[in-house]
Amino acid sequence: MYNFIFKTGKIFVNAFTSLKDYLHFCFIIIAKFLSFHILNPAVFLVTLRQVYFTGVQIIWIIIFIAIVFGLVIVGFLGKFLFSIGAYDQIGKILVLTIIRELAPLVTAILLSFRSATAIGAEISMMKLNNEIKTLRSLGINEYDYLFLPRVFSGMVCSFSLAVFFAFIAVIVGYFLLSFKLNMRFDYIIMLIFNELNFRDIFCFIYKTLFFGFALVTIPIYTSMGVGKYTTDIPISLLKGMMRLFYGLTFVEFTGALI
Amino acid sequence: MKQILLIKDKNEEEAIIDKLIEVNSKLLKVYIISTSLPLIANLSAIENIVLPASFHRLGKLKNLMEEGLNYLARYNLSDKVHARNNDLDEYQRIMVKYVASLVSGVHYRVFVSLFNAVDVNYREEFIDFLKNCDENYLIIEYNQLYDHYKGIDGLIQVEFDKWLTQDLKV
Repeated sequence: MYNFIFKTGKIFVNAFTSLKDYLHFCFIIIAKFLSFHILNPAVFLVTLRQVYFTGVQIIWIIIFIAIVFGLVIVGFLGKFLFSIGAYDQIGKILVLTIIRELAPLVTAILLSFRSATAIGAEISMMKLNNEIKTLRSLGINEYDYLFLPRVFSGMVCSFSLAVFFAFIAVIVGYFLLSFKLNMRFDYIIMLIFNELNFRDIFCFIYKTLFFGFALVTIPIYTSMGVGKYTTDIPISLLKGMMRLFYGLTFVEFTGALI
Repeated sequence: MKQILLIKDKNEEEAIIDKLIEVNSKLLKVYIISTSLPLIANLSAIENIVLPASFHRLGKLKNLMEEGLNYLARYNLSDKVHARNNDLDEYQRIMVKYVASLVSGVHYRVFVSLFNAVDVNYREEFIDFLKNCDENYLIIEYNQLYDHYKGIDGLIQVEFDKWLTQDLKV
């Protein structure tokens, strides 16, 4: 019994300490955002590169997934709504499924598979190889040079790729509906805009930005815990991905409350 | 000014590096050239060279690049402009860091226990480089390796604390 209480207490204390440290880390990142360090020429160059790696290289995968989701979701839903005679609800369903839920979440999942792991591994290696100490020796703060550009590009890419995803999915869905139900594009857009309200837009922005923030800050924060051994790297990646899963769940849950 | 600081062990070396990093956190005064502080692996040689200067806004990126390329040519490293850390040998890494220190315009270069780190074939070349180097530098080296540096003219032995206050004005 004593052991059980001891272990449970230890788990909670560790979790609370990690959360507290992570929030402190986020606080520093936000403070750096507000001090406009991103405009430093060296930092800006890294930011552009990160936007390219995070947002541009993944674009074909996003297009492919958006086409698949557009066909499947709109195709099935259109067929179903048509069968029950409620096809005028298509706008509401598209707003709910694609804009509020799928676009932010699918983009976040793709970015976590592709970029969050890469960022986690990169920062872990830099920590292990003393490269972060090299930066400090040059009077370069790692928050300014390494973390800020990655967080910024994560947020920008998460938002813009989600917009892109939603647009492609709706366009593909329209083509399907135009064949099956003979609907015009402007009619579908009108249905979507009739259903789209401020809360949906706010929810979309909240989710995409916070997904982007979480999927970069969590792996970076976890990677900074790497010590002197190479065996620390897989452990930190594993921890980072699990924490990222909790982080994405938290954002998804709070987004649902909006 | 050519100076040398003799140390006893690794702990002393690490303490000195930590102190110098602390000094640089306020203003980039010294460039520490040490194997324990590697080049940034995902940047090329020229990107490593211009990084400190461009971060501290010491000039336009284009001009800094040009300056870096000229220095690399002077030290026969023109073919290593786009090489990454793993594509360079230890002597070339030292030269890239030295060029970065020139582009950054720091007051002092600090060479930290490099004699053993340099490949045996390059050691003489390294000592010759130090003999001909006109910039201010401080060599931090283990006591037992002092003899290798005796051929450098005008090399003055210093104490770390005095060097910090008198030369670096910390």
